[in-house]
Amino acid sequence: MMSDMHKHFVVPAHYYVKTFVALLVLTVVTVLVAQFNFGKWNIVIAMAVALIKACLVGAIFMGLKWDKKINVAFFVMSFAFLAIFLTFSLLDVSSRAQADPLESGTFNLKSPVRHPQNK
Amino acid sequence: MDSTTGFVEHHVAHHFDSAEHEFDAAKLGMWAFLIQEVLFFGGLFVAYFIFRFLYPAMFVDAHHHLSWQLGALNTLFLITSSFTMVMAVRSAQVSEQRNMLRYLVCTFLLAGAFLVVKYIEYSAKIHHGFLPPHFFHGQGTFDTMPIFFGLYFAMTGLHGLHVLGGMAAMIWLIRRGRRGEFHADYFTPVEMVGLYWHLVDLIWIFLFPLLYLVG
Repeated sequence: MMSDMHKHFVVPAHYYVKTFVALLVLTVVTVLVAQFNFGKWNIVIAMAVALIKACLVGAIFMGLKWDKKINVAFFVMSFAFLAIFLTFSLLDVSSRAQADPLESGTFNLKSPVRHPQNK
Repeated sequence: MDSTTGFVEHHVAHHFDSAEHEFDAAKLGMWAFLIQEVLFFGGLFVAYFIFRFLYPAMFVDAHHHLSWQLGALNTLFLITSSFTMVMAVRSAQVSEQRNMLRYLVCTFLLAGAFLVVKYIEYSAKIHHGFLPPHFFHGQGTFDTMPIFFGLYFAMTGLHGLHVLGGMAAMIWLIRRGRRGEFHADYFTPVEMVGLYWHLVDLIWIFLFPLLYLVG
């Protein structure tokens, strides 16, 4: 049976080798950068490098660069919704008790989440 | 495929028009599963950022109890395994059965090495009592330290279970691959396990700096 699977695009191996090398280099960069203290920027730099690595894995190893656009859209959307989840959760936690001090109470809940001022 | 090549012919399931149709359906299903995985881990990442925001000093202090060297070693193992996995998929796509099996075995062994390092790390944490709340009995500067180790064990534990699941999938692929089931006309399972494996790698890419290098 000669099926139409033959039309499937086979990615040249050099893409994979270069991506592998790039990921190793970026891992070294992450570790080296972590040896210096940039204060608040530490996490921003670490996340930026991780994001570049994630994009490389997604685009080349997972083949999104050559995949159907609908699959790319789905996968990117999952991260977009995760960003919404994270943003609003942090906005909530970081702005509690700013309108009314009552909001900072934990009201006998066992949750360890409370405003830093009331630790 | 004829019998001279030793490959098993794949029959497209009757509810699909063509092999391409079947492959696309499988792939869309796999992406849906991976999206679910992103959101599944997402909850833990959000918890991490909330607690990190609330107790920044404790996070910096607690992460010194993790060995970044072992974390970096595991990053090396996982990135290399992702590379061998993608080469296994490529070998299947061009009907190179021997190479595919070699790459799959390499991926399996690297995954195993990752779990061995994880075992060493967990043993040290358990020995020192750096455990999630309720079990925690370690010595630390901050009384909120069990929160960090709760997150550490939940995030790396869930990730470790995914590595274990990936290893089981790898054995399944090797068994089927040895029978000659994967070739240029049919490599869907290899490609799908590959996607899953890269996601496991992708999650670790974020876990490593967040847990081991937060300082």
